[in-house]
Amino acid sequence: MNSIKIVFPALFAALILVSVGIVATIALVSQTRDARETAHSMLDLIGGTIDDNIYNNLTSAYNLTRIYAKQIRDHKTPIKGDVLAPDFVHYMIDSVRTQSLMSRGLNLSVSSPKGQNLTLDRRRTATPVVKLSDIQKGGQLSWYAFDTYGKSHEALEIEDIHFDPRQQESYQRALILKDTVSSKIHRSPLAPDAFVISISEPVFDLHSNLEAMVSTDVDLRTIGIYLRGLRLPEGTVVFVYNSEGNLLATTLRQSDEATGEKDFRVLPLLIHNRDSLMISTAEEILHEYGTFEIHEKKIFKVSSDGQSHYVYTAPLKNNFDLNWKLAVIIPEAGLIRNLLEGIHLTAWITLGLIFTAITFGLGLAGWVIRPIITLGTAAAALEKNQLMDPPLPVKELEKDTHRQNEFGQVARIFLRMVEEIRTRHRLLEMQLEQLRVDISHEETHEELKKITNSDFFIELKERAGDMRARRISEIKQQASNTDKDLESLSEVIRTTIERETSALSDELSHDVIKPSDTCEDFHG
Amino acid sequence: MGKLIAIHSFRGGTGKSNISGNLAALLACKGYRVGVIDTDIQSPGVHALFSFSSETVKNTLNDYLLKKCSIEEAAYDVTGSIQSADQPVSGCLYLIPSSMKTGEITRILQDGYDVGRLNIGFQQLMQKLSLDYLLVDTHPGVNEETLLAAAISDALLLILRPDRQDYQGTAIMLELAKQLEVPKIFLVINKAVNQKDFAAMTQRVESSFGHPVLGVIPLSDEIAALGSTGLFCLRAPNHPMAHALEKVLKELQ
Repeated sequence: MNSIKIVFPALFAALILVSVGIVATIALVSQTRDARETAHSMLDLIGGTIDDNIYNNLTSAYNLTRIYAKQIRDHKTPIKGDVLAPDFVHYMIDSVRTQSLMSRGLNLSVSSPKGQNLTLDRRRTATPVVKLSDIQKGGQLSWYAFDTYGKSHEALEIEDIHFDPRQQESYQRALILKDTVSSKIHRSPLAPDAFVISISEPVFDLHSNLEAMVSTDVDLRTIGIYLRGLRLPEGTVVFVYNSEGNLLATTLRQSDEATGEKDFRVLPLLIHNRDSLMISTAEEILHEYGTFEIHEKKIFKVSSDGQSHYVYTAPLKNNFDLNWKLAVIIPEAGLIRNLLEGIHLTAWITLGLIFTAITFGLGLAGWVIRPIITLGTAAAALEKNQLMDPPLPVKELEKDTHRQNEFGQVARIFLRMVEEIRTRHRLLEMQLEQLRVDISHEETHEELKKITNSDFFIELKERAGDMRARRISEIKQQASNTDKDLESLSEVIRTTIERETSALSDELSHDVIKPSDTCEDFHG
Repeated sequence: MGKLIAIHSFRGGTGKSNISGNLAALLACKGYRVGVIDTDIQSPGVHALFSFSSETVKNTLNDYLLKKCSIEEAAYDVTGSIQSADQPVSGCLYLIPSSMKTGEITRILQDGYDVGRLNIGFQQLMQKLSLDYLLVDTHPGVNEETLLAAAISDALLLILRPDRQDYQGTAIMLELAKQLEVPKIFLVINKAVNQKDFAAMTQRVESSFGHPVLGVIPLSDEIAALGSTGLFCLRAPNHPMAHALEKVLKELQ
């Protein structure tokens, strides 16, 4: 038999566990959903901000090209195919310096149809420099500082390359399209250690002849520098990639070896990267969407090194048909730490509540089942005809009768039943005993012997005999006296009757009786 | 000369005083002059049946035994207490109570008394009050005054409850009564349960003790409810107790 002592508390505990568990699960699911929504919002915010900044960066390159193309177009003195003319170089130096439009990530080049090139650059040097080259003179690059150009004939540095700006892809496309264009990512001869994109715009004279080509190179490393400068949650990785799956920029400081690409002229692929998180993300993108060509924002989760991460990826907006994508990977723990802490707190509170509820529940169950157990024990004792306390738990039942509820009522009824059974049992025992007439003759004999052999009894017996004899004698004496009295009385009566009879006879024999007198006497 | 009837039991609480009082009342109702004397000096009880209180009593059996008064001065006519409009009493009922005062009970138990004087008192009572019956309510157990009262009585009525202890004690009392040559010995069983068994029980008791059982009085809630505050047989003449006592009376007469 499964005792209620075990079954009831177990059921009670299970019910509490299930109830609290359900509530806790609902709370947990709700908090997790909140966490997910919060994570999505944060990812949207971070992704959007980065997208905006990259867009601004690219747009400033575009704007720089446009502004200087217009400036050259509006220049009072035509260039006449000589962009290396000192006046023009000075003019450009002054213009760039004055307007401060050129940043460390940009340079500005003006090329002539004859193959001359003037580049104003702030990159790699502490001060801005102007780089001059003429393909007709070998195409070497001569560097001059802004401040010393025209004052010293000696160049700061001479790069011995054979640079012909007309060979650049963007130059040729801009010339064909006669509009502002951007190049594919490439390694520029002017910045051979970096991948760049070039934005070019042609300047035509009044006769629609090409007067100059204005172009700007955007160094992709500057995007990486910008990304690394962002204050992001710990463990966050951001990278920019294109639809072919090439890594363009990332927050990770990566050597060539880390990129997994041995040929420096080729853009590294995401899936060849040594960073496991980047690989996992790339694989997940391919697994989920089959391509790196993402057309809309996606948010999903990846696991790497046993950690769960949220991934935000979306196409970057731009004006140059770059088709770049942004990926932001944030560790779940970092993104929703506070929420996770809340969930953990909820879990602990839930555990505490479960423990408290079970403790309280077990106590309550004990309180509830105690009278039932008492009744069960009492019923078992009655069944075995054990009517004494203990094993019949009468005291416990009496305690329960004070309860002002159904248990109290049951206990009172049961106690009354017990009393009735006890009474009936007693009566039955009495019946049996009264019918048994069980006398121990030995005991009787012993007791009698003690009493009758005692002096007290012998004396008493004698006294009783005397008393009885005296009483009988008195009764006899009384009877004898009564007899004598009766005889005397009889004698008196007899004598009186005789005397009266004699007297009456005498009167009758001597007197003459007249009939009339007799009647009168009689009547008198 | 009237009859002296001793009413005795081996143990206390058998209902001796109750039966004594009720028998006396029934005899008085039948026109007899009856006296009932409470010789249970240690624990007197008969007086309560007649609504007799210590305030209304001047002399008691204790005073007679201590030679402070004559026995008839300790006798009280209680006929009025059993009489009613429905039930006129043609006889006469006297009660000779024992003292109900604790001090007097203690004193007589400490000092003792002349048991022979008790016997003289019985005779004087019967003579002076011209009693047809004197019922002696004794102290339970085996003691001098009880055995003496039993020895000089015309009949001994032994009351017993139907349990082992009473059966055993009654057997001893019966043997003692026989040795004291009590002329007539009768048994009355009190507080018996299950009336269906009464005939069988009577037969067994009679065959075991060799003396007749005059009546079996059932254990009754109604008798218990009345307690010792009244005479039950007069209040419930159709109750089995009244029938049982009527049978006892027939034998005693």
